[in-house]
Amino acid sequence: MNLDSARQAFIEEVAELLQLMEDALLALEENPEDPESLNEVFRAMHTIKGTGGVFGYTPIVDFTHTVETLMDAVRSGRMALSKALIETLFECRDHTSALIDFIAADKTGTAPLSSELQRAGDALLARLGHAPVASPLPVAALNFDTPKSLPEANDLWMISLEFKRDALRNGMDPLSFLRYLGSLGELVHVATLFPIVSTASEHFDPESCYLSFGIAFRSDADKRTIAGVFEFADEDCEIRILEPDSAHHRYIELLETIPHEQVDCMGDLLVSIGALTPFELVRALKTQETAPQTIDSDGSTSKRRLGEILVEQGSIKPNVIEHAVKTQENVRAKRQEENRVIRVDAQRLGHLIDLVGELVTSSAAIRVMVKRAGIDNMTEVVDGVDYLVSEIRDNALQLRMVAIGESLSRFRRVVRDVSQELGKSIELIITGGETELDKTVVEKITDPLTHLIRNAVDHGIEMPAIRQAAGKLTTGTIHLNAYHDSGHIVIEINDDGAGLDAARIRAKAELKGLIKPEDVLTHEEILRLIFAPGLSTKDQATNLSGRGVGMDVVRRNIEALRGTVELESQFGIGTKITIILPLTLAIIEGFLVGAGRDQYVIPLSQVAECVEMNVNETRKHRGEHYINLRGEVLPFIRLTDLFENADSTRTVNQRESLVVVRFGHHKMGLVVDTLLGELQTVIKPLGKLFERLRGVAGATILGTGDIALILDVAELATIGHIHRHSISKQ
Amino acid sequence: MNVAAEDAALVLEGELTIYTATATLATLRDYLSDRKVCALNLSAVTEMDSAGLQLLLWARRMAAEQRIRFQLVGVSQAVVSVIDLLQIEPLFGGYPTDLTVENAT
Repeated sequence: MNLDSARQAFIEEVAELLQLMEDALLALEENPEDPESLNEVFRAMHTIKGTGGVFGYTPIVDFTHTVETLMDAVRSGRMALSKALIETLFECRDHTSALIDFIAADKTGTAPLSSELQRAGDALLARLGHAPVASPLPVAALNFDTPKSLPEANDLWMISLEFKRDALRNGMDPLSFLRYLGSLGELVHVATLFPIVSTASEHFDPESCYLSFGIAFRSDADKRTIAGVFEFADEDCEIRILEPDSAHHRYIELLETIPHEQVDCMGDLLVSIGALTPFELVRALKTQETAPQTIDSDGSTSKRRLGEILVEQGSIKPNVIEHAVKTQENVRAKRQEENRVIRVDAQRLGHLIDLVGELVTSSAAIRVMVKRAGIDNMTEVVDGVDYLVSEIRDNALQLRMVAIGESLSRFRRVVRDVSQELGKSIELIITGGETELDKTVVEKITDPLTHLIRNAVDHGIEMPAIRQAAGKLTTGTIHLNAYHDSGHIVIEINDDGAGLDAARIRAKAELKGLIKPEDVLTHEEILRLIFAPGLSTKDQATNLSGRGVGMDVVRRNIEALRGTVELESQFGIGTKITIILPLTLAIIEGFLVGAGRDQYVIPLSQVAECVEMNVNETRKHRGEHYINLRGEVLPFIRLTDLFENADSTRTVNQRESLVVVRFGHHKMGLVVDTLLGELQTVIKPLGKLFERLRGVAGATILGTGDIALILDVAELATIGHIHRHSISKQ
Repeated sequence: MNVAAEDAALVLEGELTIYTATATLATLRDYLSDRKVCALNLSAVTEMDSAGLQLLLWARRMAAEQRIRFQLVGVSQAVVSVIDLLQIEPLFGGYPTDLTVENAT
């Protein structure tokens, strides 16, 4: 192996190691504790250092050595892996890569490092030096030079008084302040400044004040008391008071013990421990307001640090500020952790919600009992309990609510990876990430969403060249949007891709025997065929989608969550998929109806209206019942027919009611015997035995102890549909 | 306030305050215009405030510029208390000096 090919091997090896490092860093972003990933990063740097050393690439050795040392500290738990540190490590990875590129480009292998690379490396190493701190303390930016006119002395207060010209005319007598000050302690040294240097050339107005004093003062009084001496001179005098060093220890002690609620503002913090007077704070804040904003390295503008201004104005000594800043940072960090989350076992939460569910049922039972007993006085109490129970229910469910944003943003990676693989240029826009829904729903919706998004990337968005030819932007857009809509969450996936070719879907569906050539289908119905099993429009299966796990699975998954999925698409323009899900799976706002001998719950959000059933307006057409509802043709199902539980005691002439329900864009009617009103109820799954039962989403125990079935409206409609088909085939 | 011009020493009497500052300054200017020595007799000063102190500092400054001696030939209790308070006794110790009033440390 000659040197050149060895070098090539080295470069390739490093590229591999850097890839591993990147993967590990990505993993660490998700889980900073993962020991395997920590090791991976360490190993990558260690190996690169080792091999780099063999080839004598000093810059690489030097650089990776520092990172390796740091990672060792992190690995052994001596240093916390902050987000900022991970970010820096990413940059270190990139810098190592740049170093390798430099070596690869340099045939001789002896060229000195370019100054840019050197600088970049040094900057990174410098940052690593600061790495233990999550963010550089603002103190680092402070100017520690003490004001010239105020020397620090160990146990003396340093007070500087600069009187303004009008002080005497305003009735001030500077001497009286000094006399008063003298009553609080000992004026150890007074420096009197009279700035008239030349009596001949400078005008001297005997009624103007030219005096300034620097005072070294020994006193046990606190800063507030001392500042109080000059309280009335604020307007006419520049006052600076620097506390003696001995006071620092007290300030620092106070900083340690300060209640956490008080640390929000640096200024208030310092005032509260007496290191700063309110006036000094006001003055500094004014300066801060008028000071020009500086541009930070990250491009954002920021105001000057208050601490910086205070030190400059001589109101406080740098090391007190430093301690105050540290206290502030510590408390903030701690509070953030406290505020962020309390980790609760999901099972406990589930148990709580179960209990709340039982409470809801019991509360309904009490209501029924009270009604039966006819105790008027109780009604009010029951109302109160009901209100509280529903509040508790809402809050308990809220505990399980999480913003959907986190799970949506993981699709960025999916889109990036898939589009890169396919050579497409795609932008993913996510809106409504703050929309909340039940964590269990979030978990279950991720798979179907992933599938839909992959579909959009794979089948939806065209190749850049094709898009350009079609007069579209070469970069395709996929828009993920989430929002709340009357007790449901709506998730939209909108792409500006090729859209669905209805003709091809139809052709394929005919080929598969899903529909007959003579069937008349609306555009929407044809599109919905892609939710049928075994229909993929993509002729060429990629390794991403089109392998049989199709839209039918997506639909099933969503429907298992009591959700619906809708599809809109225009060929050549784009596709919009709308998923509508209940916010939670545990509790349902229901509408209780009686049909035959049983009671049923219809999800309230799906109930559009209730009207009296007028038998004269009904038609029976090819096995399906229709009713004329204010001129609109509405298909309906008689529940007693469906469940074959008609009450034999009921006379034919008794009045029936029609509950109009909607699902997606559709409406249909359910004919019931009685309307029993709204109730909130806990959904009890029916169990394995009834898994195949269609049209029923679950069951619930009523306050009376009876069991009511919860109807799945969308499935009922399909049952009606199949019913129709089976009849029409006959 | 009366100003007696005997023996080249300027006698300042009564109040040496903001209320008399303008008049006193005029007197001091007059006095300093043709002197070989600046001697101030303050033994009859009953009250001195910051304005009065400024006048003394100014006169001392002026004397230094004219390279003539500056001395206080007599001080009252009112004057002494100010001088003590500000610890500026050395400034008025009667030495012609080319130092400015003591500057900041």
